[in-house]
Amino acid sequence: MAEISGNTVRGHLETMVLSVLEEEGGHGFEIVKRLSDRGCGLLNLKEGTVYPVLYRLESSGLLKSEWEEGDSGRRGPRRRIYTLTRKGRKQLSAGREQWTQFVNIVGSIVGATA
Amino acid sequence: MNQDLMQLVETIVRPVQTSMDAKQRMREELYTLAESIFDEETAAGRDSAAAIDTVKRRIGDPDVVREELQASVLWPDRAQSFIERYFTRRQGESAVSCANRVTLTLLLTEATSLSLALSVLGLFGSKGWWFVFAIWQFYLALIVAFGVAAWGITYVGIRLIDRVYDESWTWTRVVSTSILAGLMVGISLGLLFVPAGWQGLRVAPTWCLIGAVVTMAAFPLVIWLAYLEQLRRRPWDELTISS
Repeated sequence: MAEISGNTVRGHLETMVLSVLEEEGGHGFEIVKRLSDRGCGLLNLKEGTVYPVLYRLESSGLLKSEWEEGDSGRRGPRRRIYTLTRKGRKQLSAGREQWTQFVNIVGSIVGATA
Repeated sequence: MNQDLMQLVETIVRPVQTSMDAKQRMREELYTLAESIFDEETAAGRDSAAAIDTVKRRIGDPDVVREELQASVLWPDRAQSFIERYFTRRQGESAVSCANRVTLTLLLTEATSLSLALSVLGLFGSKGWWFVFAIWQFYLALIVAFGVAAWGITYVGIRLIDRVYDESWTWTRVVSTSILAGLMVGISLGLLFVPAGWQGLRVAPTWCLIGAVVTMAAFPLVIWLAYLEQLRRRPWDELTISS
């Protein structure tokens, strides 16, 4: 299968980030890894662009974040852990509905379903 | 910390117009991401140079990442960055130069806002212009007192932070500088009360004493917090990036 570029998924990136944080919070690199794993390695996302998305989601109240506590045994600067807020969970449900609707509509037009 | 990774991160983050706190957060988060990628690549057997190249490719075009980071900055952070530009020490700036700049900016801000307030009082207040003229001494004293305190505290504060950063500080210096800062505030408040006396107002010198004592007590704490901030920020500020 061909790789999916970052531009193709741009409109859905926020919902995708919310979805990988649904079960458990995580820091930037974990989020990128989860996105990559769920996309079976075919999601070619420039990893630096995940932070602007996280900042936007946090500003909108969909995510909250805090610096990792204590000494995690790693060197270098601190990591910030992002978790979903209640508003974020609602937005994720709405995002999923929108996505289903989008796939159904576009699928019926182009003559292929997921 | 890996200098090549710091350089990459700083190239992206430094031009972003946002508050110093937000910028530091961007630096730290992007660095941890870059470092995680670097560790993954070296664990896979790549040498350091090849791993750095892969980090650059995986992070993305610096211009694009910077543009997206800038777009995520909210207006309060932009406004704060504008204010911080005038009130924080610049890389390589001397203590005297910084104190001059901070004091001048404070005085201009104070003079403008007080002039506006007095004009409004004079034009629309029930007491009219005579009231404005009667308090002009107070107005001038406020500017002088504020200026003296602002310059002195900024100067001694910067000198002390530099000493803590260079690990050449002593408790005697901390205590004496705190006393000096307290005295400057006390004297400045005293200056402020002189014109009040001319107007026949009784002002308790206790306020000068309270101001001085509070400053003496708070000064070391403020310096310590400023030092911690500098400790995090200075390694990044000292990097040279191509514009």
